[in-house]
Amino acid sequence: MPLQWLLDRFQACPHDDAVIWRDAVTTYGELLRQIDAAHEFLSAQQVAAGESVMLDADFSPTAVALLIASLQQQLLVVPVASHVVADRQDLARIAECSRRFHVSASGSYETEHFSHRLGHQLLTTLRDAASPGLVLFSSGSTGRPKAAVHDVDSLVAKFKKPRHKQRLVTFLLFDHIGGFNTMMYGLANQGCLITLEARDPDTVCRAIEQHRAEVLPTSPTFLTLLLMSGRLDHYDLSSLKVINYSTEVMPESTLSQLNARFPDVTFRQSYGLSEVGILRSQSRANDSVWIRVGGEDYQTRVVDGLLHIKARSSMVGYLNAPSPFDQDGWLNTHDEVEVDGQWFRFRGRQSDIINVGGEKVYPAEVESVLFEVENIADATVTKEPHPILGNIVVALVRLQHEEDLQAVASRIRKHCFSKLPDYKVPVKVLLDDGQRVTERFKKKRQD
Amino acid sequence: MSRRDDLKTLLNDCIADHVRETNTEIHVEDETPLMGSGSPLNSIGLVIVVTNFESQLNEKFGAQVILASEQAMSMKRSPFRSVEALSDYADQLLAAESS
Repeated sequence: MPLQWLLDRFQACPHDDAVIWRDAVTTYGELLRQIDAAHEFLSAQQVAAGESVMLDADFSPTAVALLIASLQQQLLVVPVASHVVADRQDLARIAECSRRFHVSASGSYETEHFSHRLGHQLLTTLRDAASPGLVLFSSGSTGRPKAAVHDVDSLVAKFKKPRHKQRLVTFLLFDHIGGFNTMMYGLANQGCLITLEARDPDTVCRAIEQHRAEVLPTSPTFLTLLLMSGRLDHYDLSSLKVINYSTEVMPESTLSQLNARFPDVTFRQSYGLSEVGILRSQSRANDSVWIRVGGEDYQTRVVDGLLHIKARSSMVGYLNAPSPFDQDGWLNTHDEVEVDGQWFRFRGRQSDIINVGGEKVYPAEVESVLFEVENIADATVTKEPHPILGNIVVALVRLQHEEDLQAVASRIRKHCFSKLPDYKVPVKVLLDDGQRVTERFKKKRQD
Repeated sequence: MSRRDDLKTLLNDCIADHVRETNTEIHVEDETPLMGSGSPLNSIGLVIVVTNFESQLNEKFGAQVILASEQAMSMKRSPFRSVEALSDYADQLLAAESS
């Protein structure tokens, strides 16, 4: 049965904490019993190997158990995080799901049936090979979400190698490649998953304090919010050893503030995509945004300033979009990088880059400088077309306390002119009353 | 003071703001060009000054004029050829909008 090695590890530590859900501890012994119960549930439902099923859940122990049991029964699992707003009917149609299992907060399973039948070649190939599958929908910052199909055997192969046993916060969502990675890393190493009911600074800090979390995998946007919230000093966060941030460019100003606030914590940037999985990475230094990515399962190259990746754990393809891989299996990530030997520095998504009179402006770099300005609670850099320069840089800011916008704009520009080349200085400064953070805690630069 | 004079004062204030923000020393007179080789402003400086001027005059006069437009860029006699010319151009746009 697939994933038997994982269950063998659980059996070796039945009394250790596996999952903390709503402050209640589930041990590995209890998790094994819940996996048995999930197998019974799937048998009673007469689910056949190779069926595509949606798992509408969060990281509750019953959801984790159902996910593991489903993969063991060679199902094609389509996780959707419970609180994410998405048209489940549409996702079920794209992923050809025969049913949706909803795991309620109390841990019971509910089933909804669909009439979809498996027909897509990527899914039937997995079914015919008796390989469990995972379908992850990209967050779809532009356009409709893309369904990335993974062969679970190759996705989880890297977790067989034992690594550190740690207590990790499941900040990234249940249906996110990073969330799946956190869960697998934690469980494969007999660690503990500390789940969150919400993802605001207080809830996260309280979970760290109460359950002595050692690792917080999160996004730069959340870390910026955390610093600005002023809530850090209200909690004992001394158990934290590693803060792992991923998915976006980290503002250098945020990173240096974090280092000052957490001198004993290791900061590590990781890099991952739904299409290739999470790459093992190493930061050049705690306060450095330069990282080295790769490892034995990944190859990287830079073409025209853009990072390309070839990975053993790459998805097999999209269900609803052309394959993004070239004939040799390389994926163009469209992430611009600077290279220094084996080190990379991420500059931003190609689509976010602003062309001002022929010069490139990376929004994250300007945002980092904006965070240094007094009274700025949050800043998002975007663009506006302009007849003279092609585009101009526009800064959308939220203030810590009310102030005349003209005065703020003038202070921002004065600071930016002293730190940045002229073409990167925001021409317009506007007050931002919109929500600039997605439900996945990424910065939203376009409405 | 006429609206045209008001506009010229407003534009000079915007230039003075830009001077403070960039920590430079620029001396402008009515005939100082805002664009091109004789201008003390570079292209970003021009765009910042014009954008600020536009936003402040619209606020002051309750208007919605656009100074930096394809139309302005393609005029035979550029409205950006001097402080005076840009004040005049803003005055004309305000007059056209209210008529």
